[in-house]
Amino acid sequence: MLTRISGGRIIDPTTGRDEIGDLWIEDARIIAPPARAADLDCDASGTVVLAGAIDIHSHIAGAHVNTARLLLPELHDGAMFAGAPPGEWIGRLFAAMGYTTVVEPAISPHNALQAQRELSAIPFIDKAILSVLGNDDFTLRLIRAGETTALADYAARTLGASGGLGIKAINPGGAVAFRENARSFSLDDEVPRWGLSSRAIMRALQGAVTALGVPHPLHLHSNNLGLPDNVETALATIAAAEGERLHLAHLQFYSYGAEGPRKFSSAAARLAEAVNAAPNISVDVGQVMFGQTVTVSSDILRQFNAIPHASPRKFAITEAGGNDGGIVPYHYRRKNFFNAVQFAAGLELFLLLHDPWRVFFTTDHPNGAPFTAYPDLFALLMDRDLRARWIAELPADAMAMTTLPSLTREYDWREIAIMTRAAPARLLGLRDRGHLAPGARADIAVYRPQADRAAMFRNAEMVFKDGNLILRRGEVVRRHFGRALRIAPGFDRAIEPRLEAYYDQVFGVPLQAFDVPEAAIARTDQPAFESVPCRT
Amino acid sequence: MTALAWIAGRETARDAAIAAIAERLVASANPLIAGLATDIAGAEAAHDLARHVGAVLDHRDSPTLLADLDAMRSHGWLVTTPLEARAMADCVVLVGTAAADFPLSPPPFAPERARRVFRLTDETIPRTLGLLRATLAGRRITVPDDLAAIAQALRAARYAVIAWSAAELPPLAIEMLCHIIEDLNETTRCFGLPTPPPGNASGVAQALAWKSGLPTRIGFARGRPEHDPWRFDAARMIAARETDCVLWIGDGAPLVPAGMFLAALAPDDLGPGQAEIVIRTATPGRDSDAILFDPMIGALRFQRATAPQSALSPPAAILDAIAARCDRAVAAC
Ligand SMILES: [Zn+2]
Repeated sequence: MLTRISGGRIIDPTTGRDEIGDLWIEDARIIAPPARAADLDCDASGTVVLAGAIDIHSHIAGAHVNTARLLLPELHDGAMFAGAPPGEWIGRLFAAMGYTTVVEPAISPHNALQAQRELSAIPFIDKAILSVLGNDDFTLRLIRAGETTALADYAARTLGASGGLGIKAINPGGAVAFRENARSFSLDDEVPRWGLSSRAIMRALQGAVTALGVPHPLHLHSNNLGLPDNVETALATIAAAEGERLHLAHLQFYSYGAEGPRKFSSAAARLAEAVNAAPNISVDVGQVMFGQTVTVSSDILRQFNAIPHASPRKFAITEAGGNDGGIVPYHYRRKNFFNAVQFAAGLELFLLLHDPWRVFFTTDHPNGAPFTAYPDLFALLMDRDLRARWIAELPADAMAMTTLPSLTREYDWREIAIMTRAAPARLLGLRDRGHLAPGARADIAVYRPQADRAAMFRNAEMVFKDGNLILRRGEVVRRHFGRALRIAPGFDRAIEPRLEAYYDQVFGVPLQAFDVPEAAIARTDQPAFESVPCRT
Repeated sequence: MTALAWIAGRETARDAAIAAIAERLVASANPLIAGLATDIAGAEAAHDLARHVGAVLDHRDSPTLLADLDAMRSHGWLVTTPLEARAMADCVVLVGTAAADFPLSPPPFAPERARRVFRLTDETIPRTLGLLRATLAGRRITVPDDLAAIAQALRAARYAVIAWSAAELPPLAIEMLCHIIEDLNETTRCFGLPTPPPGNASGVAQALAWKSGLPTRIGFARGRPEHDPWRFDAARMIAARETDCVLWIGDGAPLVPAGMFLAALAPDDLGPGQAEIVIRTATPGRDSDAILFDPMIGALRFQRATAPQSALSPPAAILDAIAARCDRAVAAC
C-alpha cells in the first residue's frame, strides 16, 4: 500500500530537512516520492511531522516492574496507575504520545524470559531490553582474574541468550557490598571479598562493550544515587571513563550538592559543565515531576535505604545476587524542599547541556515520574513562561538552591526531534529509525500545534508504526504489535561449557534455564525479534 | 483417534464444544473462569477471554498466593530467590514442614562459612515466632533452648534465610516473619524465601499482573479489571450461586450445584462426564512447549515439550478459539 502524509512541516535533523512537504510510505518503509498516486492520503497540513520517538530508559517490564503492580493494587484500577500500568496501557499511552520504540533498561540475565514475554504483550511499539551485569558473581570472577576476553564473551553470550540490545551496570559492586552488610558504597570503595572497586568493574564492562562493537555504550547507573553531595561521585565517574564512551543514566539523581541551610542543593550547573566538556559522555536526565509514583530499581542498597521514605508505607526488596529489585512507592510533592530541588536540577540539566545529541529525555519512568508526565515536561522545556509559572508555585528556599529561575533557554522543534528521535537512534545503533529519509522504517508521529503544548504531546494527531496508521488523537485506529530489538555479537563459544559448569556447581541448575528462545515470545503474525547490527 | 471433546458425556467435534462454551459465556450474566492451573500463554488467553466477556478470574491456589501477597502489600518484605539462598546463605531457618530442605554444604559464594540449617515446627508457630522476635529484640524472656539457639544463629549469621510455605502458616505468622527479617537487617542480612504454590500459580499471577495490573480474583464485569479477594473467590461464588456459568481450566474441576453450567478444559487425566462440556487439552510443558514458573530458579522458564503431542491443543489455543467464537456470538445479536 502507498500512503502519503501531505502538507505537514517535516522536521528531520538527521537529513537536515525542515520544510512543508509530503512524506511517502510504502509498506513499512519511507520511500522517495514515487510517480504514482497514493492509495491513502493523510492530510497533515498545519501539523509537525517527526519520526516516531524513541525512549532509551523506561522501566516497563520484568519481574520488578510486575512486583510494583502487585505491591500497589490500591493505586490502580487496572489501567491508569501511571507508575506501573498494565502492558496494554503502556503501549497505548506511549504510542499516543508519538513514541514507537521504548527500551526497558534493567533486565538481569535471570529475569530475561519474563521481561521479554511481558514486552511481547505490549502493543503498538517496538521494545528492547538492556542486560544487567556488574554485580553478578561470574562477572566479578572474570574481572578479578583479568580475563578481558572471557568477559566480553560472557557479555555477548548474555546478550544473545536474553535478547538484549545493550549492557547496563547498576551501582556496580554495590549490590554485592549490600549483601555483605554494607550500608553505603562509592566509586572507589572495595567490594567486600573481591578486592575490586566499582570503578574497576565499570571500566572492565566498558571495555567489553567496546570490544564487542555493541553500538550502545555501557549504560551506567552510578553509585550514591539520590544522596546529598553526590555530584562529586558523578564528576569522578565522568573522569573515570577516561575518554571512553559511557552513558550515565538519570543524571538528575546525581546532581546534588550539600550547600545551604538544609545541606541539600542543586549542583546541576557544575555537572552540566563537566558533561559539556566530555564528548564521550551521553546522559539521560531522569526528570522528577510531582505526584504519586513508585520507584523500581535494582540498586538494592539505595532502595533498602529508601524504605523509611516509602509512601504509601510499604516496600518489596528482593536480594538476588545481581538480579536484585527494590520497589518503594514514593510521592514527589511540590511543597517539599528536597523534591522541588530535584525537579529544578533536572530542568537545569536539560537547559544547560548544550548538545541535544548527547542528552536524552527521560523521567527514569517510574522513578522520577511516570512516563505519562512527558507531555508536561516537553511543554516546560519549550516555554519559559510556563516554567516561570511552575517555579512560582515552588518553595522559594528550594529555588534559591538552584539556577533554574535564571535560565531562559527554550527547546525548539529541531532540538526536540534530535533529543527524542535522531539521537536515541544513533545512540542505540538503530539505523533505520529516528529519521525520515527513504529506507527508514515508517514510524512517524504527527503533532498539531496548539496553545496547550502538553495536550499536543499527550495525543498526537496521527501515529504511524511500520507504515500503518495506528492511533489518531489517542484513539486506536489499528491494533499493531512491534518487535523486540536485539543485538547478537559473535563470541567464542568456549565460554559456554565454562558457564554451564559454573551454574551447575553454584546454583545446581542448567545455564539454559534462563535463555529466551524465539519460540517463547513468538507471535503468529511476525518475527518476535529484529536484529540490530554491531558497529564495524 | 482419541476423543478430544464431550458434550453431556457424548463425544463431539471440538469446534462444536468450543462454540457451545462461547455461547454459554456470552449468554451468562456473570461468568466465572477459574482453576487456571495452566501455563503463561494459557493465563494470558484466559485474561483476554475474561475481559472480553466480562468474567471473573480466579486461580485454584489463590488462598496461598494471596497469603504471601498480603504480607508484602500490607507492610512490605525483604526476600531472596532460591538460587541466591543456595549460593549465599550461612544460616537457614525452615519454618513449618513444607519448606524444602537445604543442603548443609557451605554456601558457594562464601565457602569459608559453615551453613547451619534449622527447622522450626510446632503446633503454635505464631506464638513461637512472637517469642523469637522478642528474644531477637533483646527482651529478657525465657525460651526453649532450641529457639534460643535459632535466635543466636540468626544474629550471628552473615546472610540468613528464613523459608516458609504460606499453605501451612496463618497470615499472622507470615507477617511476624517479615518483621523478624526486617529487624535483623538493621544489623546483619536476612531474607525471606516464600515457597511458591504448585500448579504454576506464581506464574499465572505474574501473567495476570502484567496483563491487568492485578494478581488473581479479578472481575471484569464493569469493563475494567477490579480485584476483590472475597467477592471474586470462585469457590464462594459457586456455593452462593453468584455465577451460572463456570469455565474451569486445568485439573481439579469442582462439583457445581445442579443447574449451574460447567465446562472444563482439562489435561488428559480428567475423564468426561464430570462437566457438561469437556475439552481435553495438552498438558503445557509435557505435550506442548510452555512457559512455567520454575520453583527451582524462582523465575519463569521456557519448557520444551517433553513428549510432544500435536493432536492436543494447549489451553491457550482453545481459549483463543472460544474468544473468537464469542466475537461471532456477540455480533450475531
Ligand atoms: Zn532506571
